[in-house]
Amino acid sequence: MKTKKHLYIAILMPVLLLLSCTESFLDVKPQGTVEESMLQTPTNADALVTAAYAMLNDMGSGLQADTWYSAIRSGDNYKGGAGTADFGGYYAIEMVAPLQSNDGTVAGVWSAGYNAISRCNKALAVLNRLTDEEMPTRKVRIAELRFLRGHWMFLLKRLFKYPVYVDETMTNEDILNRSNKEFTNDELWNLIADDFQYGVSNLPPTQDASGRANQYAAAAYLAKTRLYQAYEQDESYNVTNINTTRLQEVVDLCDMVINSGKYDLFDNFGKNFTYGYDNTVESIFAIQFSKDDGTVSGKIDLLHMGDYSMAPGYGCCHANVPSQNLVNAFKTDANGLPMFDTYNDADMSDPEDFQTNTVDPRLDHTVGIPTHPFKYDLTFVYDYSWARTPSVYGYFASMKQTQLPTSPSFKNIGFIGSSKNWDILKYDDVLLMKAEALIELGQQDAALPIINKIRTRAANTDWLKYTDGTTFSNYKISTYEDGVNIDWTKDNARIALQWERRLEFAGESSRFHDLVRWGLAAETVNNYFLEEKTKRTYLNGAEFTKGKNEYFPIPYSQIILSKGLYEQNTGSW
Amino acid sequence: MKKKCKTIKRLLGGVMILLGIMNGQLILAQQINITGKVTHDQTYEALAGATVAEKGTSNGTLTDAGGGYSLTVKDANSILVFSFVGMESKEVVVGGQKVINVSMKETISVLNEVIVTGYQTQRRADLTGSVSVANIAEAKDIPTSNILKAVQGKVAGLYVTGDGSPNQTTTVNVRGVNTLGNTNPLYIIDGTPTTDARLFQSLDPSTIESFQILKDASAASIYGSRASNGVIIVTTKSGKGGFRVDFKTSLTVQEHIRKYDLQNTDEYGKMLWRAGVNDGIDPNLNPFYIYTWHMEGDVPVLDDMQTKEFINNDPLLPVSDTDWPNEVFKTGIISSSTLAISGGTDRSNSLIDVSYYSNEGMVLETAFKQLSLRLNNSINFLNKKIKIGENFQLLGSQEVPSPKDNAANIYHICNYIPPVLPVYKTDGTWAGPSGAGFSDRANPVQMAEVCQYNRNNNSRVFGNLFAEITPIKNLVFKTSFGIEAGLYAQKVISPLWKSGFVTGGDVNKLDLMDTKTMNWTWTNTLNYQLTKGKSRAMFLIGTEAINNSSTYNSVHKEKFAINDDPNFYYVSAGTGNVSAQGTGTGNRLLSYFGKADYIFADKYIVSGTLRYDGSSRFGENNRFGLFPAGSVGWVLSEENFMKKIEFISYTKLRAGYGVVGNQEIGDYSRFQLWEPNYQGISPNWFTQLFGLYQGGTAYDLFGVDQGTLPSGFRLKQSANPDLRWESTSELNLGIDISLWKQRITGSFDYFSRETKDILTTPPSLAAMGEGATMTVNGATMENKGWELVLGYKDTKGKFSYSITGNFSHFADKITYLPETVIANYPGNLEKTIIGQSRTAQFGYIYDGLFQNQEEVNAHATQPGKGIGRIRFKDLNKDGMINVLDQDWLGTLNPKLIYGLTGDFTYKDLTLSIFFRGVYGALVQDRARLEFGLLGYVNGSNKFSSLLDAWTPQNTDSDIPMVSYANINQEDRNSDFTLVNGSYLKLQSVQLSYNLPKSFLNSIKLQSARIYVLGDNLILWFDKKGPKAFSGPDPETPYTNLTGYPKPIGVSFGLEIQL
Repeated sequence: MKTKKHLYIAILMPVLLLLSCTESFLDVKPQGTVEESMLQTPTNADALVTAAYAMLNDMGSGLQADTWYSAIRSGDNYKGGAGTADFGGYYAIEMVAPLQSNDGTVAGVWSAGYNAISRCNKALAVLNRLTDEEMPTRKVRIAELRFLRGHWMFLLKRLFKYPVYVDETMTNEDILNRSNKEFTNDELWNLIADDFQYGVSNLPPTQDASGRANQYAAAAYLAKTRLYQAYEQDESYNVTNINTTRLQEVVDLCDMVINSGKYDLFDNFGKNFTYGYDNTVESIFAIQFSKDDGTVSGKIDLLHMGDYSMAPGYGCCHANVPSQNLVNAFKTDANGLPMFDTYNDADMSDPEDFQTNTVDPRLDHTVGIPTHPFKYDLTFVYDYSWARTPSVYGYFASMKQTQLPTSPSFKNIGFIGSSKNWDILKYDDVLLMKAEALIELGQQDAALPIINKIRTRAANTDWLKYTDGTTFSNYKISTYEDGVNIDWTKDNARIALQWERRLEFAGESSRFHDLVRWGLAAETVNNYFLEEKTKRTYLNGAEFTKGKNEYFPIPYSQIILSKGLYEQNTGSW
Repeated sequence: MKKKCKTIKRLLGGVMILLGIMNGQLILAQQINITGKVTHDQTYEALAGATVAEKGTSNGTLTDAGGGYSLTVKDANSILVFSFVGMESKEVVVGGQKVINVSMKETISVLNEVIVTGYQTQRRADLTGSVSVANIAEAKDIPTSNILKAVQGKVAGLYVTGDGSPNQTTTVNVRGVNTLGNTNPLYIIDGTPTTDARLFQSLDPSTIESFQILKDASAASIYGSRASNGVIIVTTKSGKGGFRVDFKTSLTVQEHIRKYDLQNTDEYGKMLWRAGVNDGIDPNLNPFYIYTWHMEGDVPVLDDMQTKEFINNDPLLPVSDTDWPNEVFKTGIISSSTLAISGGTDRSNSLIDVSYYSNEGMVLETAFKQLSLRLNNSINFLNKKIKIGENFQLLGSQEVPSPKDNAANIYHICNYIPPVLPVYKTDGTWAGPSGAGFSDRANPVQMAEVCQYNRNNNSRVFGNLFAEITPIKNLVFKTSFGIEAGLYAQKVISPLWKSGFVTGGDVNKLDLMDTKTMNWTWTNTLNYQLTKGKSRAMFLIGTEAINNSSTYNSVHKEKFAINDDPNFYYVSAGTGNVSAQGTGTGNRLLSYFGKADYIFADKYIVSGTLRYDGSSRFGENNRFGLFPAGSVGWVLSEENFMKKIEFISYTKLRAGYGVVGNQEIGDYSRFQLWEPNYQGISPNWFTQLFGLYQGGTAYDLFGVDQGTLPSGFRLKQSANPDLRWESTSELNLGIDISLWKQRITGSFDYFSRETKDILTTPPSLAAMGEGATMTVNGATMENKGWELVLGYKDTKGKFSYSITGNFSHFADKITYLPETVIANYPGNLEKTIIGQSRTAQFGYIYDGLFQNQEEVNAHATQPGKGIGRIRFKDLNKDGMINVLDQDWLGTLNPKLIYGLTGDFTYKDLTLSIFFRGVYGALVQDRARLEFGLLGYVNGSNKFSSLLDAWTPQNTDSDIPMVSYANINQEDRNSDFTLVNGSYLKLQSVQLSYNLPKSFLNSIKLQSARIYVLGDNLILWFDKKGPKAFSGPDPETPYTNLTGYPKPIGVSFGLEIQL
C-alpha cells in the first residue's frame, strides 16, 4: 500500500511542476538586441548617427547609387564583365530600351535609398526628444543627419524624378498613405534644399571627425541641388526654363566654399584617385572606407570592385569599361582644345594612335590603355590579356577608383577593393558648378578663368612620364583664350563647360545626370548608340526613348505595395 | 574467435538472469513441477526471458538464457500461458505432462501490427487516421547514412528529394506543400520531438525498428502546434528475444555515369567561330583558335581551324583538350559496418549498436564518415509496476564538403571551364584561366586540393530517459525526459591560392563556425485502458514542456605564416585581421493534451484528440492554441452481411477531421528588435562567399582607415504582438481492404486540407525603411490529394512473391494572400498567384525562333529581337513585349508520384526489384540556359548540341542562334526552359541469399545472408520531344549548378547473426 502511495506521489510531482510554471516558462527574451526605449540617451543617439553614416559605405546602397547608373547609361562606359549576361542586372540599364518597370536592380536602388533615409529619420526622432542641455552636440548631429537625408533624397530624386518624400515625423501609417506625387518637382527640390540649408546654418566649418559633414559640405550640396533645380523641366523632361534666381544661389554658395580658403585643387589631378590623399584639400565630403577593422572583408570600397581588370594581382571583373567614344573625347586639336565636332571621326585604339593624336592628360588618369603603365606604375604595364571579353567590350579598362596591388589600401578578397575614400563632393565640382551657373546667367567671362584653372591643373603630367621624360601619350592641352583659340560666346562657353565636365568626371557618377539636367540625354545617348554599335555589335537593339528614359521607372513592386497610390513616371512603362 | 563470442554471450546472458532474479518474486508451490524449453518456431533459437505463467494466478517465471524454465503449478487442470514480446502467446493445458516444450511464432498479422501513434501504441486494426508504415526491412540494405533516402519512393504521401552528395542531404514533404514557410515535418525519435532535419537524417538506419508517418490531421493532431507538415515517428530497436549478436557489413562502388554532353576543344572552336560570324565580330579575335574562312554569297564557310599553340601566348600553357568532369569525378566507395549486441528478458532488455559509415565521394576529396553508438536499455521493478529505461545515441560525423572556388561549387566549375585549358602547366604547376577568353571560375581540380582541409564536424548526443509506472492495472503513467545536445562545427581553411587570374584573396584565412544546440523535452502521460464486454476504451492525457536553445559563434582570422599545413591553421597562429560573430536564439513550448478511443466489438471505432499548446514565439494575446480532432472507423467486414462475401477478408472505412498547427517562424518574430551590427548582414550566398556584408552599423568616421570603428544600432524588424498560430484543418477519408485471405491488400486515402493564417514575412513598402518588415498571419492555402497502396502476395510451394505499389497525388493552391504579400510572389498587376500552386511558374511564352526579317518586322516591339532569336508571345496584343505578356506556365509539382516493389523468393534466394518515378512534372531546365545558350555567360564550356543551333542554313533547330551577347534576354522566365520532368527509375535490384541452416550449423552461425544490390540503375525520361530535359537526370535538374549528381552504385553486403 505504501508503494502505491509513493507511486502516486511520483506521478503527481512532475504534473504539478509543469502546471505551476506556465507563464514565466514561455517568457523567452531575445538575445543580443535592445529595445527602443534603451536608445533614448545622448550616447546611444550619437551611435544612431554613426549608424546613419554607415549606410554610405554599404554595398547595397552605395553600388546602387553610384557610377553604374550614370557611366553606363551616358555613353562613357560599357557594362563590361564576362559577357552581356555577367552583371546581368545592369544589362537592361546599359541598353536602355529593354529596361522594364519590374527591373530588380532598379527596385534595389529604390529600397536601398529608403533604408538609408530611415536610419536618418529614426535617429532624428530620438534626437528631437532630447534637449541641448542633455546633449550639447545635438543640433550639429541633427544637421548631419539632415545632410545625409538630403544626400539620399538627392540621389533618388535625380534617378526617379518623383521619389516619395518621408521625414522623421511620419508614422508607418502616414508613410503608407503618402503618394510620390504629394509634392511637385520643385517642392521636392526645396525639401531637399531645406535639409542642406539647415546644415549651412548649423554645421561647424570644421568637424573633429573628418568623415562628418561640415558647413561647406552642406553649402556645396545645396549648390548642387539648386543647380539641378534651376533647369526647369516639363513633364516630358524638356528643359523649359533656367531659373536665374536659383543660378545666383549656386554662385553664392560656391563662393562660400571657395572663399573659405579651406579647399583647393590638388596640383595633380591623379591625387583625387590615389590612396594617400584622403580627406585633404580637394575633398569636401567623402565616403570613408577602412580595412583591418575587425570585419571579415573590411569596410573597403567594393562599389568599384567591377572596375578592376584581369591583371596579375587583380583578377576580376573588367566591368565598367570605358567606351571608344569616351576615349576619343580626350582627343585635342592643334590648339590643345577638345575636338567638339570631329572627335569621334576616327578611333584611338591601337598604341600608336595615342602618339599620332594629341590627347588631354586626364585620359591616362581615367582609362587603362594597352601598353601604357597602369595607374602611374611603370612596372605595371597594361597588357592586352588584362581585358576580359575583348570581342565584346574591347581592351580599355577603368582606372580612377582602382588602386595598385602594392597600395597599402589594397585588399583582394577574391573581388578587389581598397580603403581609398570615394568623394561625393570635390572642389573641382564646386568650381565647375559655379562656372556653369555663371554661363547660364550670361556671365561667361567670369566663368572662363574657372574653367581654365581646371585645365591648367589637368596639364600636369608629373605622374604620366617614363624615366626618360617621355610621356605615356602625346599630351597637348591648353586653356581657352577668347578671340585667340575660341570665340567665348555664351553658347561656346556652354559647350566648353559641358565638355570639361565630361573629361573631369569621366567614369564618375555625373555624366548621365548632367545630360538629363541639360535636356540633352536622348539625343546624346542615341547618337552614341548609332556610332558605337558599328564598333560594339552587342549594342544593336540599344535605344533611348525621349521623354521616358531620362529617369528610372518607379519600381513596379512598390506601386503594388502602395496599392496603386504611387504614380508611374511618364513614358508608358 | 568463436569461443570468445560464446563467452560474451554467456556473460551478457548471466547479467540478464541476475537482473531477473533480483527483481523476480518467485513463488514456491506444492503440486506439479513442470520443466521445458521455449524456442523460436523458425530459427529454433532458444528464447530467454519469455514469460511462463499459470493462467488465472500470479504464479509465473521466466525462461533462462537457454530458454529453459521450471515452474510448479497447482494441478493437471492448470493452463500454462507462454508469452514473449513480438510473439503470439500460447496456452497449453498441463494434463499429465512434466516436460512442456513450446515453440513460439512471431506475430505477423498486419492487423495486429503495433503502430506508434504518438504517446501510445495502437493496433493497426484500431486506427482511424491516415498512417503509413515504411518497411524498414526492405530499406535496410540501401547504402546510405540517411534513413529518408532509404525509404524514398516507398511510402505513399512521403515525397523525398535529394542529391547524391556524401552527406546525403534530403528534403521531405508529407502530402506536399501546405504552407509558404517551413515545410519540414515534425520528427519524433523514441518519443522525443525535433524539427531538426539534420538530426533526424543522422539516425543510424540499422538501429531503426519502425518508421511511421502520421499524415492527416486526425492522426497528427496529438502533436498539435507543430504537426501541420506531418509527423514522422521513429522507434529504435530494443533488445528482445534471446541474447544475440548481429554483424552487418557492406561495400558500395559508385560512379558518376549520367553526365552533360559538353563540347571538346574541336567543337568549342567551331562554336566560337560560329558566334563570331553570327555577331559580325572577327572570329580570329580569340586566344585559342586560328580560323580560315570565306563568304559564299552571304553564307560564311569555315575552311580550316587550327588551335594556337599557347593560350594568350603563355609558353607554359598549351591549348589542350581537357575533359574536366572526368578529371573531377572518380569512383566513390561507401563502406558500412554495424555490430549490434542485444538481449532481453521479461524483466529487462538491452541493446548496444556500434555503426561506422564511410562515404568516399565521387568528387575529388569529398568524404563523409560517421560513427554512432546506440544504447537502449530498460528494466522492470516491483512486479513490472515500474519500468525505467533510456534510449541514447552518440554520434560523431565528419564531412569534407564539396570544393568550391570563390563563387561556385566544383560540379558547376567542372562543366563550366572550357576544354582548351589544361589541368597543369607544362612546368607541373596548376593551370588556370589566363587572360582573355575565360570567365572567373578557377581550375576545379586545383580547388579540390585547396579545399581539402575544410571540415564539417557534427557531434551529437540525443535520446531520452523514461520511467513507466503502473500503480493499478491498465493505468500507465510515463514520464520521459529527452535531450538533444549537439555541436555542429565548420572549419574553412583558405590558403593562398591562385588559379590563373582568379585568386582567393591576398591573405590566407581561417573561418570557424560553431553552432551549439541544447534542447530538452519533458513529457508526462497517463494512459488508461478499459475493457468491458465488447467495449474497449483507451484514454490518454499528458503534458509536455519543450525548451530549445542554440548559440552560434564564428571566428575569422587572417594571415598564417605557414600556408600549406592544415595543422597550423588555429586561431592563435594567425597574426592578421580578426573578426568574431555570434548570436543566440531559443524558444519554448508548453502543452496539455488528451486523447480518447472507443472501440465496440472490433467494429466501430471512435477517436478524439485535444491539444492545447503555448509557444514563446507568440505574444501573450495569442500564446495558446487549441487543436482538436476526431475520427471514426467502421470495420465493415465484421458486419454479418459482409461476412457472407467470402473473398473479402477485411474492410474498414475511416473518416477523420482535425486541426493542426504550425509555428515555424523566427524565435523572436513578434518583437521589435534593434541590434548593433558591426559586420553587416550578408544578403545571399554569393555575398556570403566573399564576405560582402551590407547594412552594418559601423563606420570609419575619423578617417583612420583601420582599427575599431565607431558603431551604432539598426532596426532589425518590427513588432507584431498579435502573431498567432498558423493552423491547418484537414478532412481525411480512407478505406482499408484485403481480399482473398490477405492475398490482396490495399488502402486508399483522400485528403483535403486548408491552411489558414499562414505565417509570412511579406516585404514592406520600401519608404517605411529598414526594419519595417514584420511577420504576419496572412495567406490561405488549399491542398488536396489522394494516396493509393496496393499489394499482392502469393506462395506457390517454395516460391513466394509479392508486388506492392504506392501512388500519390497532391495539388496545392494559394487561395488568399494579403495584398502586401502578393508582390512577393510571381505574377503581375493582372495575374496574381491566387488560385495557383506555390510552385507555379510565371513567365513569357516561347513562340519559336524568328526565321527571317519579315517575321522580325511583323512581331511586336521586343528589344533584342532578330533573326534566329526567340520570339516571345505578345499575349495582350498591345504590340509590345513587357511584364504584362507573362502568364502561368504550370507547376513544378508532379501529378503522380509512384513506386513499385516486387519481391520474389525461392527457397533461400530473394530477388527484389524497385521502380519509382514521377509523372506530369515540369522542371526548370537551368542547365539549358547556362550551357545551352552561348550568350548567357561567355568563357564557359557549352553543350555539344549548340553546334546544331539555328543558322540561316539550319532553320529546323529550336536552339537560338549562337551569339556572344544575350541581347534578346533569352534567360528571362519563360516556358522555353520549362520542360518535361517526368521520369521512371529502376531504383534498385537486389539479390540476396540466406545461407542454408545445415551449412550455418557447421560453422556455428545462427543465420547469415549475403546480397548484391544495384542502386539508381536505369533512368527513363523524354530525351527527344520538344519539351525534353537537356541534362542527364530530371530528378536533379540543377545538378551541375548547385547539387551533387546522383550516382549509380553497386553494393555487396553480408549479414550474420552469431
